[in-house]
Amino acid sequence: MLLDVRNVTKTYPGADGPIDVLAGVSFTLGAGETLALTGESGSGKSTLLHLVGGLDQPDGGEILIDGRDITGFDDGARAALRRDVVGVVFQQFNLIPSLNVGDNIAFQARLGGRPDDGWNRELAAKLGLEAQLGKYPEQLSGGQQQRVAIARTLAARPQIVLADEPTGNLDEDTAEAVLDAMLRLVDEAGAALLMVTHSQHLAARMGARLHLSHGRIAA
Amino acid sequence: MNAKYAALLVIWPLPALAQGFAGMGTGAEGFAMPAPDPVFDFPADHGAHPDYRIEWWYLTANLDGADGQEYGLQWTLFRFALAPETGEGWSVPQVWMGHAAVTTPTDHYVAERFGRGGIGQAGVAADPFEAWIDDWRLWGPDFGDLQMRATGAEFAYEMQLDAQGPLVFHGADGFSVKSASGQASYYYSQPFYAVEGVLTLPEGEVAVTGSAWLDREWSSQPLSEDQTGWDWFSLSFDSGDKLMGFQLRQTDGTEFTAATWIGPDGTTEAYPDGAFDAEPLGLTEVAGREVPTRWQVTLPDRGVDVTVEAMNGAAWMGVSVPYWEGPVRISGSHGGRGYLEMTGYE
Amino acid sequence: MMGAGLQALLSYWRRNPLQALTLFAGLALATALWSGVQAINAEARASYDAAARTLGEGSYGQIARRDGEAIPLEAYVALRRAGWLVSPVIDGRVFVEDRPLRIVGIDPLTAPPGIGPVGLQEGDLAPFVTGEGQVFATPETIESFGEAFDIDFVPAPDIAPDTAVTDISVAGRLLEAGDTVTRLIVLPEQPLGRAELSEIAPDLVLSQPGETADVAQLTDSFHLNLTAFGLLSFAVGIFIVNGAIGLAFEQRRQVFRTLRAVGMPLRRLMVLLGVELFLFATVAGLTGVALGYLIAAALLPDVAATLRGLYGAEVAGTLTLRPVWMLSGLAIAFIGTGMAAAGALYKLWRLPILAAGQRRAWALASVSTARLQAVGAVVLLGAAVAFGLYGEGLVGGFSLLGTLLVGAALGLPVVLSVILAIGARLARSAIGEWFWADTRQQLPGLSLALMALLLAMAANIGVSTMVSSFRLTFIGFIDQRLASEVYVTVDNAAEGDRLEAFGAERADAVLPLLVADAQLAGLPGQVLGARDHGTYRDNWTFLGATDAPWDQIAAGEGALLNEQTARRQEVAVGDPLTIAGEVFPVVGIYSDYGNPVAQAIIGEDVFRTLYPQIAPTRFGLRTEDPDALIAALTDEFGLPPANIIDQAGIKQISLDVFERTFTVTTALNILTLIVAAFAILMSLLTLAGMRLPQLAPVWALGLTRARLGWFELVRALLLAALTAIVALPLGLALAWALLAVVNVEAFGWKLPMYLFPLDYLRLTLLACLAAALAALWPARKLARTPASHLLKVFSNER
Repeated sequence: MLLDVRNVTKTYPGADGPIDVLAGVSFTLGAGETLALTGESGSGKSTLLHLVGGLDQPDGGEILIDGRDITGFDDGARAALRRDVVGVVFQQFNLIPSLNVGDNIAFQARLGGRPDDGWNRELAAKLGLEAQLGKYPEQLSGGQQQRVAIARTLAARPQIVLADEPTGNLDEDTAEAVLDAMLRLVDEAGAALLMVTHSQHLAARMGARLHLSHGRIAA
Repeated sequence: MNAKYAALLVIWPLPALAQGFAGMGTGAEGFAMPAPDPVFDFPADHGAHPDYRIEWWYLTANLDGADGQEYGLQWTLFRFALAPETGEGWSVPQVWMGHAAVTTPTDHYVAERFGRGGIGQAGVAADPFEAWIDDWRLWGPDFGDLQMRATGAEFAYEMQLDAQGPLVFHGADGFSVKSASGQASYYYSQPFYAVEGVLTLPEGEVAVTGSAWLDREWSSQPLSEDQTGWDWFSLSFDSGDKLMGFQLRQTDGTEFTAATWIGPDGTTEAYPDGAFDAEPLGLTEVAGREVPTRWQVTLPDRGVDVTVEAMNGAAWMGVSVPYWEGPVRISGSHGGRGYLEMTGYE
Repeated sequence: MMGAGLQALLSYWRRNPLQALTLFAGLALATALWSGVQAINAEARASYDAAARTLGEGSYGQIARRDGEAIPLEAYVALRRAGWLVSPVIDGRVFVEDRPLRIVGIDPLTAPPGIGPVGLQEGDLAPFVTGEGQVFATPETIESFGEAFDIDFVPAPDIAPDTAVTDISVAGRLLEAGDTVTRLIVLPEQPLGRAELSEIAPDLVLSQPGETADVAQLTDSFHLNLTAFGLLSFAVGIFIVNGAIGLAFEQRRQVFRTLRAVGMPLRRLMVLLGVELFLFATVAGLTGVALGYLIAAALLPDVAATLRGLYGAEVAGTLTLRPVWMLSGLAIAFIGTGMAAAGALYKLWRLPILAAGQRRAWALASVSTARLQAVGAVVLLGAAVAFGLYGEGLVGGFSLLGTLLVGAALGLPVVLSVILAIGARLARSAIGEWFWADTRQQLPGLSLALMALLLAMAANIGVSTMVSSFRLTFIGFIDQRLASEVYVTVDNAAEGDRLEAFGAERADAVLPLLVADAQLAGLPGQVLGARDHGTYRDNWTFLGATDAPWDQIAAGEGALLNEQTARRQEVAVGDPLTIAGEVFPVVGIYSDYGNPVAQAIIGEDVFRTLYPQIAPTRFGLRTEDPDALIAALTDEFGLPPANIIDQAGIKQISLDVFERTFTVTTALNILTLIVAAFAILMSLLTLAGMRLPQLAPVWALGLTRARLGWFELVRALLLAALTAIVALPLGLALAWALLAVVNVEAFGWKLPMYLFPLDYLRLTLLACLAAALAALWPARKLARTPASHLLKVFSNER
């Protein structure tokens, strides 16, 4: 199993005492599978995604990627995980403002030591970004920015793509187009996809679906 | 006003200012005091009397230029003692002040000098006579035969003085009473000098001739405390007679007057308080104040009833302590020329 | 509403005490440096003014004796009696337990109005000129010297330090002047028909006002240093306050939004912010002034000692609270705050109510600002070149300095941007590329602080180059001029012959100092006769000379001329120079620092032919054992110790002076750098909030926070180092302008410029260290940012 999440817990300090954001969540995701994470605002879905991406540390439980428990990783090992194994597409601020589109797309792959200019060009072409390669992020529309983020993520050939409301800031038509592109390319690359969304419509397009409520998996 | 001048105000001896100086009016501090029935010792008494607080050598002249114009001329040396001591060196407490002026009908040129005694910068020697401050000098083999020179930034003069008559003594044989309460000075004059010389003015040099009047006076307590200033006249009539008269103005509006009638041969008659009278007829505005420059002067005992008018009303002496001094013309019962000095017009 | 609003605004500072402290400290420090320098300058100027008033020099002509000796009283009286309106001065020193007290005696009766102690008020002349007399001095002087004299001391604050002014009679007594005076002041208005001075007193010379070596003019070169620091600290101060206030506004945008959302009118909010800034400026300004007082008080004794040693100018070693610099200190606090706040307030004015803290680093400086800066830099630097080439006078010199500094500061971001772009192009790795690009992106936000650093470093380089060049030159000059080990003065020509004979046996060489007055190229001056000796050949350096100038001098076939005369009269090597009717070719031009008069040197033999009447009474003696020679001169030759000068002693005094100058310069250097470092810290803190959206993606893509922190530190170091690279030529240009342009305009001689690479290296390291220290805290903060803070960037919750 590519991803094996076992009984993960996470608590944040709150005004009226600790809040259990994740109260023991377990699930698995195999290579090439797609999974939607849905739930109310504050149900813990984004937190779960961050934990899987090595962006944050759980308080309890295990997260196994390719059989290795990443919860024991130090800062450096988790940074390496982000470079080499996972790729994250956030709702906003995915891009490095000081680099142009071409450099942004290539950045993560180069960071992980897997530069592949041909693949980058192919991704840019497939996402309709050829004309934008020399531009800087602030010169792009929201939809274009998210497309660049997807290209950047896939360019590094991650085993798992993590997406956190990747179309949350876009209007409906643009969101649809961006999602289409992402699903198609993830499928072509053979990567697994874990996507956080609050949209039932989007969730329905995924292979499976997990609903979080009050830090637990509901049904 | 700068500090130096403010300081000098205090030692200034002229009557108007003496009022403000505590101690000046009452003598004391070891200074000698004039006494009645003086016996003068010449030529020694032409020299300085450092035991007395103040003293002056005061010469005025009415002149006619080769250019046909009238001129007035003043050469004055004052001595003030800060203490009745003399000697040599910087610390000698004798201060000298010189005033020189030339008056034309339209202009009035003034210069002033200061110096200290004890180092040779200024002083008076009796025999042979020399009175000097800096390059200003009044000197000669004797008091009747003198040369005189002074320079300013805009003028200079060199004169020869030749006495045509004797010294004359004012008051009671040279003891001149200045107030009802008895303040007095020693006072004599040489009013008979014939003058010739050269004036240097901005327009150029001009040869002049005329007559001069030299006053010598010294004292230690010139005025009483209720006197605010004086008007002093030295008048030379066409008849050859001369009249010296002054009035000391007092705070209550009255005046104390005195006069000396001088005949052409030098015989004198002194007149007591009240005989001589001078009433202002017209004012001239000069240096921001009004000064009477036209007077009605009378001495009934001698049939004198004349109008005395300044040749140049603007003869203001704008020196450290200012006063008015200039030539006058006389008309009325008598014709002639003379000099007028007025102090205390604030 | 006002009260509540102000409370809401101020509560921010209660929750961020460290930031409040930083803003406060930044403002106070800048004010302190400014007012400290102002205080020192004001104190020195006041001392010069007092000295000028005391002396009566400057606006009046002076008469002194040609040989520098005292003037006989008879000569004074003779001048007065010839119509010269001159006033005597007796001027000298008495020693009280080895401490010198200058005594100036004046004659209030003849002195020009305004000369002499102020406060000679009505009724005071009699006590001043009679009896035991009165002595006017500052209360400090009275305190330290009063008890030694049985004289009535009168306090007068405006008199020069360690100076007493009194009547000439008292001064003559205290100084045992006898029948002499020191010099005469010439009144401006003189009577007609005076005789010539040379007819009355041929020994005396008249110098017109302005010809006399004016103390204040000489010391201007020193104050140039301080003023440069003052200007720079002003600029640096503006930068730092700008940074601090920018931060305070940036971080409180949400408070502003909330206040306006609950109904506070924008105008009132602006007023409240104005009140808040006013309070800050007042408190920090007052603290800065107090701090400046401490800085000045600490440095002033060294400054005073330096000025005294270099120029003989007396400056009080104690500081007076003068309104001039206190007000200027407060003014800079307010002006700086106002200038810094203007931009922030303007932004707030134009901000839509609900525009939240959407902070973009770009917002700090737009492209158009950068273009404007670049154009400004080009224009100003062009103007600087023009001033350097065609500028005339001191105004031209200072215009050159101003345009150079401001132009370079404006050009800095452009230069750095180009360097960083090149760096990015050369980068091989993704991280490297990102690092260069990201650094370049930070430039607009950091440029103010970097400009401050640039100016601070340039000033340090410029001023220390100037001071060090001055030191080297002056020491070289002293070595050249004081080459003999022992200097001796004898009373008359016969003694002089005896000394020559004595020296021929006991010393390695006897060098007579032959001096005569002469007209040189139309200027009054002196001609010196030099004996042909290695002392001159080995030690003298020339600004320009023939191949063998000393051979020509020894042969009587040439003359040497000092620099100021050569410059003023445009005399070059090879031109003819007439001395005492004889024509010599100029064979060399030599430096003659600080000498106000013309000077030429010819060979001893030709000197003795031209001036047979002059017999030397002063001699330099060469020896390898000065102590033994001095002992022999005292014991066997019978010279009083006062007539013998040990050269080593003089040199030591000169060196001490420079050590003190360095103390002052170093202290000011370090303080300026601290202020610049503060500016960097402020800017980094301001940027920190805006940095998260830029850094979060990089972190998410696989860089640790620790590494990002390191990058921040390295970035600060890189920028400091790059700034240093720009600062070095700028500082050298500054030094060149000070030495070769301003100095020549002000004093007529050019100081050679020396380079001190080790000093510059040390300064660069120091600047990098300062930048690193400033970046340390923000970098550490970044390295410890909780992941949740970074993650918030990506979600909607912000």
